[in-house]
Amino acid sequence: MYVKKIAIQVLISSILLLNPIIIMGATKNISWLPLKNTDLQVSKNAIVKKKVLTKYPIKNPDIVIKINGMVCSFCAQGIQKQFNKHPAVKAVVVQLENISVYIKLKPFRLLPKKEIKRVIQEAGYEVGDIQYL
Amino acid sequence: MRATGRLLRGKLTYYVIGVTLLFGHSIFGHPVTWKDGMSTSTLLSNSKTEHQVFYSYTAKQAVGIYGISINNESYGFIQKNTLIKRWNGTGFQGNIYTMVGLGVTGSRKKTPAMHVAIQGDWETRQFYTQGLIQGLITEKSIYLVQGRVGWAPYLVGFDDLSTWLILQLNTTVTTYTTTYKLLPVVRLFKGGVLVELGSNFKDRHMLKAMIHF
Repeated sequence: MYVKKIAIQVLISSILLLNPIIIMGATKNISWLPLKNTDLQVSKNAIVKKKVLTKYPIKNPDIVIKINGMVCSFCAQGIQKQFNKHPAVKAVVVQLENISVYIKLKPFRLLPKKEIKRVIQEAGYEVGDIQYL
Repeated sequence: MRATGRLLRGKLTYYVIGVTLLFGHSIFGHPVTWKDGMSTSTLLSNSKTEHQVFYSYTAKQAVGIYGISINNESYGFIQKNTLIKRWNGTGFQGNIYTMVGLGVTGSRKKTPAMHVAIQGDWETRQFYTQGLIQGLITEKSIYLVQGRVGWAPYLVGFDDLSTWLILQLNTTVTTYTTTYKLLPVVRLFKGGVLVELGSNFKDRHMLKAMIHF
């Protein structure tokens, strides 16, 4: 019993003793200490970039539409033109990067899914996904 | 000997047509745009001149006029373009179009002429292939085959200037001759305006402008 107690104490002591060495070993390749100005800048840029990516290209869009086949801005002009002439649409922005179209509706106007599909088809494309915000 | 030559030339022509069909489409850009969309374009080169104006009354059908001047002969057509099939995928688009036009030759002896063409393309944001087989059917018919492969060196947003580097193969088949021409082309477009400049830096040059509105 006494021997067992001593063995446990030795084990715990060893772990406590070795713990900083293990931590240092695991983190020796991470150069976050000491923190430099450039590192801070990189972190800030990453945060800014993330914000930009999640920000919509128009203020408070009402609908985001994913469009299949939208690969060329010359051909996708039709999407912008078709939505721009729609009486319910106030503003439209096309983003090729994420194959999406952002729609801002006029006050008290609605644009049902069926109507969106019709407009996209008249532009020569297919709807991938429609998201009302 | 002459028969063997003709056979070989025939086989070569079928090969070129086959390769072009595989690699996809051409001169017309998109022969059908969008409902109520207009498209006008002009092509000037050493071997031919083309002018066309089309109105898309649906997203699959367009009508308009098409004029071409080639091999010392001019042709004018009233034409209908049809989008036969479109594949809209995530990050790609493929199309097959047909074009049928009825008209006349522009020479002193005006004779009826017919224009038939099939065009296909496949494109992503960075790569594209295009192919066209075109027949100008008259007493002395001419067949044109064009194949293109293109690459965009950088990706752009919707409102930015796009640049494509294209390699174009033109084949012209008449009753007596078959000619092949390879031409490097730079395609630039922004908004609804497209310009193509091609040159082999020797004796062949090409300029094309197209507007969609």
